[in-house]
Amino acid sequence: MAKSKNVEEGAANITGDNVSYKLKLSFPGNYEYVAPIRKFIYEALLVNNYNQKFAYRSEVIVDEICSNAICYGCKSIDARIELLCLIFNDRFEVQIKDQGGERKDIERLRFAVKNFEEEQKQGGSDVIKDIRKECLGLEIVRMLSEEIDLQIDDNNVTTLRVVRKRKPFYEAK
Amino acid sequence: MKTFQIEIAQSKESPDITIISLRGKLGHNTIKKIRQAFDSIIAKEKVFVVADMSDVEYISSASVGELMGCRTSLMEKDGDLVLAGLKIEVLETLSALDADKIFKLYKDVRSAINLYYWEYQGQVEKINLTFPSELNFVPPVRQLVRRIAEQKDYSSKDAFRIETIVDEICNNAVEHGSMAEGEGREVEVSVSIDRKKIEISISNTSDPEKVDMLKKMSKYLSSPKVSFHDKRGRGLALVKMLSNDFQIDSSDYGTCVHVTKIREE
Repeated sequence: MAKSKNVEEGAANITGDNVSYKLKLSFPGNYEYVAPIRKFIYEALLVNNYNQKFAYRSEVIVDEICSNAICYGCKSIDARIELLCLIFNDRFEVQIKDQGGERKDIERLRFAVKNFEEEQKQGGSDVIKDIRKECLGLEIVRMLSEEIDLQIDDNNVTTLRVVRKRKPFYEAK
Repeated sequence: MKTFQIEIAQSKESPDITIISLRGKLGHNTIKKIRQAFDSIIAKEKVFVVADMSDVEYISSASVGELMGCRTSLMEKDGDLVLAGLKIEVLETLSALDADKIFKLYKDVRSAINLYYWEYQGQVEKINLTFPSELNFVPPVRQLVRRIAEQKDYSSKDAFRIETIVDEICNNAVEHGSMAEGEGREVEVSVSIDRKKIEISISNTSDPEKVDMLKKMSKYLSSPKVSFHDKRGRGLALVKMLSNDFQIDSSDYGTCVHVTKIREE
């Protein structure tokens, strides 16, 4: 019976426990898939009681990180992307994993993420301004999110995690 | 301004693909060099060519015409010429000449190579999705599969039928799947798509009370009959009608529905 109640209420119980829904996607490292997937995430957030603004901004995040993963992390013809999305009542988390690109691209990504973290602690710097000129996609992701984490393993497999939090209604503009 | 350069190389991914890198200004004085380069490619019978235009700063109408001529020569040998990585200025020139309707244009060389595998090698692309067993996730899932079909140039009619199939099976998976809490309450969708067909597998853990009923489904599928007075039970008949092959595998652990839909248009 709990299931049908949940369905009637649209699954997301905003004021109750912090329920999470997990969406896992695996797709070829091909730009053609980015548009359908970003729309899928948008719609998945809407049916979980997130508003259009939040869903659209999350869609932009997904678009940027998927495009980056395909551009820099899919060098072979059979490369695949793995996307994991967690929808909580108070936040949306997305984690993307690609096969890793060239050394210089990985270093640039690592440097950019590290400096974004520094900026959040200390405020702006000239180094960050330079990165902003180059890494505009990641800068958009940073503006639209609260947390960015990067993990790179020994085989250059790159995992980027982005968290976007839902603001209480009185803070949302 | 870069001087005009032309470079021919084989693709690392496939020796059948030739990549011709053009750089600088493609004016009227470069036509002869372009033709010579394509003649040498045709002589080697490497007839699928990707022109990497990412370093082209300007293209004259005469050069566009020459590239169209080269494409015709390649197509006569069952090949093709596609353009990749065009800058906005070059793209504007092609649009002004309506050449963007003639050439296939790609964001980068790798996207163009993907096309080759898709069109000529019958490449199958696979998409896997796992979503929570909740009815409200079904509309986004069915729309995702429809959009993928449309993206792959399936007609709107085909895409709509595929969407309907996914909708029916996912609804069944959620409705009749396991009611247990936790990891088991997920539905897995696997889509394998190529130029000629789409194969969809949807699996879920089974509700133990419904396993016997599901096992009888295969018999029902051979001649689906729904009474006029039945309010429900038309979903599988609909899926069978819209698909070219339809199978249900059901065990105590789970149910997997396989559907094949051949591209019609």
